[in-house]
Amino acid sequence: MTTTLVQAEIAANRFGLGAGPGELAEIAKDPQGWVLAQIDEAERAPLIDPLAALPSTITYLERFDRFRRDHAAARRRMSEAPANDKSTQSLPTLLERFGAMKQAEIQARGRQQCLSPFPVLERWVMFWSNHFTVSADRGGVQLLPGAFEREAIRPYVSGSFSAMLLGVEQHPAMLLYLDNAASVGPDSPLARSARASAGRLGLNENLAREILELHTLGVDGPYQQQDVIELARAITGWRTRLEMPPSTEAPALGPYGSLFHGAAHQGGERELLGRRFAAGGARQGRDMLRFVAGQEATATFVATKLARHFVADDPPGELVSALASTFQRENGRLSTLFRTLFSHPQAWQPQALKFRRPQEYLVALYRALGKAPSPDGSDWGQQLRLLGQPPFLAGAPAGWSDDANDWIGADALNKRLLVAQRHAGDASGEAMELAQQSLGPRLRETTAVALSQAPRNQALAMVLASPEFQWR
Amino acid sequence: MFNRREFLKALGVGTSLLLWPSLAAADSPLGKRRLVVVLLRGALDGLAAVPCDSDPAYQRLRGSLASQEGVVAPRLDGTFSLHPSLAFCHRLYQAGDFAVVHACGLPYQGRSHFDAQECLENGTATPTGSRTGWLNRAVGSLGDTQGLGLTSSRPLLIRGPAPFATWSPSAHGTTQPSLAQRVAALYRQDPRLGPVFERALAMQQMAPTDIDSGGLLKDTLAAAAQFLAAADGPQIAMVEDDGWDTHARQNAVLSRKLEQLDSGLAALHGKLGERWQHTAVVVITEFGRTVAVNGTGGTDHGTASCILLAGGAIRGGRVHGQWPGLARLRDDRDLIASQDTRAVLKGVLRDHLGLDLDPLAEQVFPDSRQVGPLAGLIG
Repeated sequence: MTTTLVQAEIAANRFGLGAGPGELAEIAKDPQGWVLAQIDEAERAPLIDPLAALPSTITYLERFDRFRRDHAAARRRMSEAPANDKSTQSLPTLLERFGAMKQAEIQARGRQQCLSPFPVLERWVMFWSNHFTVSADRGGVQLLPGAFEREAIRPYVSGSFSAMLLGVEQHPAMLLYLDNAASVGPDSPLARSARASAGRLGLNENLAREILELHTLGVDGPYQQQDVIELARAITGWRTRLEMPPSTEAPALGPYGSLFHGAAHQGGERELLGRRFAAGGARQGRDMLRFVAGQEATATFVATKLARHFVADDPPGELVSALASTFQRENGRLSTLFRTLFSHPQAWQPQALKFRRPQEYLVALYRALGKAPSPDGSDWGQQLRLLGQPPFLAGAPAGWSDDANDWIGADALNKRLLVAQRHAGDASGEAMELAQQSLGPRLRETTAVALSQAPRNQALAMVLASPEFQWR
Repeated sequence: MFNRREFLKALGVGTSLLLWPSLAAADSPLGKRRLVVVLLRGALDGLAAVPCDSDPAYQRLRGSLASQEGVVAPRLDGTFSLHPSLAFCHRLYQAGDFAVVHACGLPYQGRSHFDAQECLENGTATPTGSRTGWLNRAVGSLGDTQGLGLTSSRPLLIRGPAPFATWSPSAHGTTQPSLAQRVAALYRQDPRLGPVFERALAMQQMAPTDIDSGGLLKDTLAAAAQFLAAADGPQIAMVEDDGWDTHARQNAVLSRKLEQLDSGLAALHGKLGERWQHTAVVVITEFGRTVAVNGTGGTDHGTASCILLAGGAIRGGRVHGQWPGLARLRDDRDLIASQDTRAVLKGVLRDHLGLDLDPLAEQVFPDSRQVGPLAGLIG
C-alpha cells in the first residue's frame, strides 16, 4: 500500500498536474496503469467547455484582417485629408479590439488544465506546446497561440513526431510568429517584380533556423548555415491570407488558413544535410521536414528535452537513451514515446527533482483545492503574470525554460506564498487533510508537526507554499 | 510591524546575514556607487522625448506631432528641447544631473521589437547571440556584488549565473509576517529554496509597503529607490516598463508615459537622499521610430533613439555624442544611429563602476572591442 501510494504521488504530481481530493487513493490501485492509459484518450477525450467553443485560426485571421484594413483605410483618409484626423484617432487599438478574446482563451485553457480528467495527457500537450512555442508578442500572432494549440498540437500528440512537425510548421501561427509569412524567394516572380518597382523582398531565415535549432536537430545538431538557407528557400511561399493581395488565389497549405503562394516560392532542386530534394513547390519543404524529423539528432534532442521536463533538469542518461532509441525504432511515434517514458524505472525514481514552473504550480494548487477558474473571469492570467509566467507569452521561440535556476528567485517564492495565502483564505477543510490528499507520502514529518501548531488558515497556506508542494 | 533586524532575528537568521554582500568596502568610493538601468520596451520615440525642434525639417516631417498647442517645451540648448512632460528632468538638467545621448542604435539593423530587445538585453549583435544578459554579466565581472530586478520574472537582461534577485509589488497585498515565519521554518529544511526564501523575506522587510501595485513606472522606480537607499542594499537595479510602441495617438500616450518616467526619477531623487550623488540612471530602449508622422497620429518602427542619463554621478547639462541631423535619414525614414548603444553603456560601466576594457569587450558585450566606451558621461 505504501509503495503504491508513493508511486501514486509521483504519477499525479510529477507526471500529472497535481493530486486533487481523493485522487491519490484512486491512482494507487494501479499508478502506472493510470498514467499509461491516458495516451489512449488522446483522440477521444473531449475538450472542457468553453475551450471547445473558442474560434478557429481562420476566424481569428479574418477578424484581424478586418482590423488591419480598418486601420489602413483610416491612414489613407488621413493622408488624403490630414486636417480631418478625428476618425482615425478613435479607432480601437489591438488590445481594445481583441483584449476580451485573448482573456477568454487564457481562462479557458486554465479551466482545461484544472478540470481535465486526463492530467498526464494534458501535461503531454503542454510539453509539445512549449516545444513548438508560439509567443503572443506581436501583431496578429497575439490572437493565435490558443487556437494553434488546439489545431496543431492536440490532434497530433499520439501520432508521429513528423506529422506534428508538419502540422506545426504549416500552421499560420508559426508562419507568422517566426516571420516565414514575410519570407520571399530571392529569385521568385514576386521578388523580381518588387525589384522592378524598387521594393525589397527577400529571404527570412528565422523559421528555418528555429526548425533546425529548436524543433528538431537541436542547437548542437549536424547542420550548417547553408542548411538553414536551403530549408528557408524550400519553405518560401508558405504564408497566410494576411500577406496575399485581395484578388490572388493560392492553394491551401493546411486546413487552418495557411496558403502556398507560388509566386513567392524559390523553385529548384536543393540539398539539405547532404541529401538532394527535387523541385516540387510546397512538397519540397514537407519532404525536408519529414527527413529532418527522422534524423538521429532529432531523436536525441527530443528525448533529452522530454526527460529533462518530466524527470530532472540533469536528465538520467539511460532514460534519454531509451527514449531516443524508441523514437528511432518507432519512427517518432509519440504514443510509444509516452509509454517508454512513463514505464521507465528512472522516471519513477523517488526523489522529486523538478521545481514546478509557475503554471504547473498554479494548476496544482487549484487541483489540490478541487477548484477551477471561472469561464468568464480574468483571474487566471492575472495570477500567472504575478507568478512570472504570463500565459502564451514565453517571449522567445525556445519556450519556457526547464531549468530550476531560471525559476527559483526570491520574488518568485514570495509571490507563491502570496497566492497560497490568498487561496487558503477562501478554503474550507483542514490542513492535514489537504496535505495528505495533495502530497501523500511526500509530506515531511516536520511539516506535519508545523501544520498542527499553526492556526487553520495559516496551516492551509503552509501546505500550498511548502517545499514539498514546490517540487515534483 | 517590527524592523528588519528584529524580523531577521525572529526568523533565526541572525543579524550577520549580509543580504547584499556589496563590494568589499561598501563605503569605498566604488562601493557607494549605484546604477539603475531602466528598460523601456516598445521603442521610445527619441525625437519626441528630445526634439531637435529648431531644425525646420523637424517641423515639416513631424506634422501634427511637432506642435502641441499652448505647450512650451523646455529648451536644452540651441538644437534640442525636452518633452514638456519631462519637467523634473529639465530641472535636473539645469543642475547638471541630467544628460542625453542622442541618436543611439544597436548593431542589429532590423525593425522587430522582439529581436531588437533580445539584442539590447543580450548585449550582442544578434538576437540569439547570447542566452544571458549583459547586466548580469556586468555584475559577474564586478564580482562581490549583486543586482536586483524590480520584476516578477527574470528578463533576459538580468538572466545568467551572477546573483540577481527579483522583487515586484503585488496586488495581492503582503504576506502575514507570522505566516512567513512559519513557512521560513519549513524552507530551512530545503537547501535549494531555504536561502532564497530568506532573502525574499528580508527584501520584503526592506521593501516599501506604500507602493502601488499597478505596475506604473513611477511606482517601480520609487520601489527601486527604497532598496538602493539601504546601506546594505543592492548596487545595481533594473527596472522595466512597456507600452512605448506609439503607432497611434502618440502625443497623448507619450505625455502620460513620459510624465510617469519623470515622476519616477523625481521619486528616485527624493528617496535616495545623499546617495543620489553616487547614482547613475540609464534609460534605454530597443530602437527609435520614424521621423515622419504616420496616418494614425503616431510613428512606426525606426532606427536610432536617445538614451537618457540621470543622477548625481552623471556629467549633465549637455547633450552628448554626435548628432546626425535630419538632412539625411536611414532608408529616407529613420534617424541615423551615430552612437552605438553599447558605447554608451560601456562608458557608464567603465567610468561609473570601474569595469575594465577587457571584460567589457569580451564578457559584458562580447566581440565588441571595436566599439570603444563613450567618454565623458560620468563625473
